[in-house]
Amino acid sequence: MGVATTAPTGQPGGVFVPQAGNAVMTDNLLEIRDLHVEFPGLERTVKAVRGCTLFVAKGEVMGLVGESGSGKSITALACLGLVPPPGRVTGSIRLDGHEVVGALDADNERLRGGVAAMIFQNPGKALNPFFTIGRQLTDVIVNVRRIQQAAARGIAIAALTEVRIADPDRAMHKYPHQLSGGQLQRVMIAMALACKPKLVIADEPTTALDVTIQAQVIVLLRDLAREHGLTVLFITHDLGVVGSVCDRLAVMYAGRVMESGSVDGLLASPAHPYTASLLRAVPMLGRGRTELMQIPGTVPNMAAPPPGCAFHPRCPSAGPSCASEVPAMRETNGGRSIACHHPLPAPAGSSEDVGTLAS
Amino acid sequence: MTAEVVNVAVSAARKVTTTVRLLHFTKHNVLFVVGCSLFLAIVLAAIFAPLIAPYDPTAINFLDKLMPPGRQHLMGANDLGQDIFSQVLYGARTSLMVGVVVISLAMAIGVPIGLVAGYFGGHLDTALMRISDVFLAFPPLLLPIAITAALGTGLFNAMMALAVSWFPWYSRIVRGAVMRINNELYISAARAMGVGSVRIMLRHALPNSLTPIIVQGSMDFGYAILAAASLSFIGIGAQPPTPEWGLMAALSRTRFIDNWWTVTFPGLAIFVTVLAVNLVGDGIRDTLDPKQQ
Amino acid sequence: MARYVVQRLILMVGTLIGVLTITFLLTHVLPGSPVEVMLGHRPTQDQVAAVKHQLGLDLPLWRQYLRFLGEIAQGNFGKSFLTNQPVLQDIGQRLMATVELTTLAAICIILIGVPIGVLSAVKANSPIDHFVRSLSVAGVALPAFMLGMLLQMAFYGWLGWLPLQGRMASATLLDHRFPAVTGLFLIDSLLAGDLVAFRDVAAHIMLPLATLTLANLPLVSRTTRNLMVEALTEDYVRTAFAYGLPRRNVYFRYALKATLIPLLTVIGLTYGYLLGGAVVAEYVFDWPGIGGYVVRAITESDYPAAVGVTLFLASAYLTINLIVDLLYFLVDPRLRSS
Repeated sequence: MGVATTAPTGQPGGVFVPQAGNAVMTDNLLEIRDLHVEFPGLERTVKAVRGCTLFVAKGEVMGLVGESGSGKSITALACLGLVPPPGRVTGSIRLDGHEVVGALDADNERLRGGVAAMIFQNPGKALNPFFTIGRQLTDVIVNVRRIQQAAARGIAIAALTEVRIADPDRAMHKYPHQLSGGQLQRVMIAMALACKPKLVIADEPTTALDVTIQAQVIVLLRDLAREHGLTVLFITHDLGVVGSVCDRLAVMYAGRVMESGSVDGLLASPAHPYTASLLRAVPMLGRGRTELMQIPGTVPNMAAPPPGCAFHPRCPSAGPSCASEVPAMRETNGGRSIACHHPLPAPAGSSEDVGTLAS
Repeated sequence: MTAEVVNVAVSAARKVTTTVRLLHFTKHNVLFVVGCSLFLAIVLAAIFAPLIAPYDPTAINFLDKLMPPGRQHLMGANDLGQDIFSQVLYGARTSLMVGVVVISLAMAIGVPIGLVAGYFGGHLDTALMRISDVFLAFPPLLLPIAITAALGTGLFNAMMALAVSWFPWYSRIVRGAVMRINNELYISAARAMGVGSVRIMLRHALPNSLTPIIVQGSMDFGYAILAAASLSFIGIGAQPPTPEWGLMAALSRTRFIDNWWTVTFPGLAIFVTVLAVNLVGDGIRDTLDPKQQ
Repeated sequence: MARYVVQRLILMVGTLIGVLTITFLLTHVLPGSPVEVMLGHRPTQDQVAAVKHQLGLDLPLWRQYLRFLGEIAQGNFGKSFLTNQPVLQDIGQRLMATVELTTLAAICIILIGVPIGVLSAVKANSPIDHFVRSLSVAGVALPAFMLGMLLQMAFYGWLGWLPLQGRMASATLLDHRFPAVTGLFLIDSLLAGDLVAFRDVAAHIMLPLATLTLANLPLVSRTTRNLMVEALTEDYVRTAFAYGLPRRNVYFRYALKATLIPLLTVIGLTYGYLLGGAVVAEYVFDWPGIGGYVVRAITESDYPAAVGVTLFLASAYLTINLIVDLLYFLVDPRLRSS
């Protein structure tokens, strides 16, 4: 699957190395360090992830935000060793202490479901149309929790009840095409829950659903996470959603994390120009009649990304060094990390004060 | 092949080495190039058979009866002393002709039916399709056998039989393509302007269905040759003295166990030809319709 | 679903009538009179007239057609000129020989072709895949009769391991007669406990079985491969992997089921090819089945036999296709609800 390297190679600018004794490090369930994923092709290589560094502490809900093509879904797949061929993965991903990159598929198989469970974007397509959902649930439970069929059935029904599916007994005998999109996503959540994982990776769980259903599913996820003390990596391109679910937020662009920190801090005073542009571009009710600010330019071609900071062609704060030097990830006070040569000043004073509203 | 020729001409004008471009194309489409080369060789062999063949394929010579392959007979001789190599060469003419005739005829019957059925729809369509279904109800080869039997044995009748058995495939393809564009706005516009149905069918519907027809035809070419050879083998297709590879195998049935060359070379000829045609057909299909595999 | 079955049955009957019509037209409209065949050379005018009347050939065409339909409906397929037995009886005697061969071939093709296709898909674009695909392309180009003869040359002529043709050696047949319970000699000889006969039957069926299997294997393995490659890209396969389900389960249960519908179609088609291919194989191996019967009937102008067998085979093919279509309902739950 990939070659494990403990030291980063190639990328100028280095990697975010937490200070020794930092409490964040020992409590992390998921540690992604300088992740690179590329897809070599016949004529060119697409670099989907170009040095992503991310830490998710136990019990927190981390949002991973980015536009299409930013590499967030691939990052999620990489956490479980599920990057499809011909993808090549380098860097380090430590999931509950286990190194995923470069490990044997058999070893990673043991992590899937039991340690980290994934919820996918389009539940209608993520479930097998030829089997009842009861069958799919019990198959997974039997395999992950290593128990008998009969007991698995009980757990499946309990999980369906928890995700608020009406009449779970009957639902077990239904086929995916007989359920609505919202119900199917609940089934997927139930499947994840039933495995009793430590980490739940939700890859755009509400994107394919109607807006009203979206809200229900998001609330459900949030409540379940709190109830079971789950750690969640919530991936989305919709900034409007993260406010109500996530504790911390990481913003990805062109395969790298640009900024990360507490949700409130980031939304209130973004330090990275890209985050700021994203926020300005999101229409939010109650903000008054401000004009929608477009981000000029287009998302970069991942086979030939711009040199230096990938955002510099579209960045209003771009300076001379931005085109040549890739900005390193720096940690600031208050748990904020940023990769930028010219971060925006915090509204309440110097950049050192960014993120005083700690999570 | 035409596309490649155009490319080559253009690049010559641009002073890019044609050899480089050819090599690049070959590297990515090895099988296609191999198929084309083989096919070209076979066509040339067929065209120049009278010049290349060392003997008259029908010339009987009992002195050379069942001579194994050697200097006198490149591929040996059969039990009438006829030179197998010459027969194989002339057989190429027969097989290539069979492929062309059967496919053309099947298209000639199937395409108009498909056009009419798809364009007019309704009862006419249902009727035509039900009739086609009857032809498709026979297991492959059975209907050609029955038709040839009724018409009388012989290569010509076998080709007619094959064409008549296969036209339904082309009708369906064309009908599908026509129905897809039937609802397009420009068709309604044309009708409203009073353009005749025939013109619409020919100018709009037909070009639309050209690609799948070509793909199907290129894949059927090889199968036509195989089917004709099989029919000749069981005695229903080509009759002596027509040089046909399947017939050659049939005539050697009594002797082939101890005289492997009498049957192996015609069989090999069929194999190589059909393989070449299929490789070319696959290449055409990959270019024109990449999602099918 | 019951409504669908009824619809399909009605369609099938309609198609069969079409088949009947075509067969009728072929034998009655086109030149070549069965009368001469029946009577041999130089019959007198009276003899010709008598036979014509007997066969109904002096009636107007449409009346002949109706009479023809009527007879078929009653199960009267006429009498073979060559064997002088009712055609149906001839078919009955030879049917099981073909069934034994084609069914075994179908089983072998599925048992070998599907796993090969799955393996090829799972290791898509690897050397194994390229090898299998090359074999498929090559296999399609070799005519079945050639394959049969090559096998005969190799295993009979050169190695002497297997017999040349026929279903049983005549010597064995004389000494080891076993009751034909099912008509499938392999089973019948085992039922009779006659191992010598069984070995002989098995040896004889080897080469024709190999011919039919190898000739039709490429299509099934190639189709399975392509369908599986597509199925493996489906999201639900990714979900199965994401929850750590063992690879073999995912391939053979989750992914394969998705390929079953189009695969069933191909299997139905393959059975059709087998029926057609059996004609050639039976000719090569002198197998006493329906295929050989058809060829002889046609080359010797035995019209009733030719008509009878053609109808029979067409019906069998249609029935197989109908069964395949009905199996779709079993496989795809999405169809059942509608």
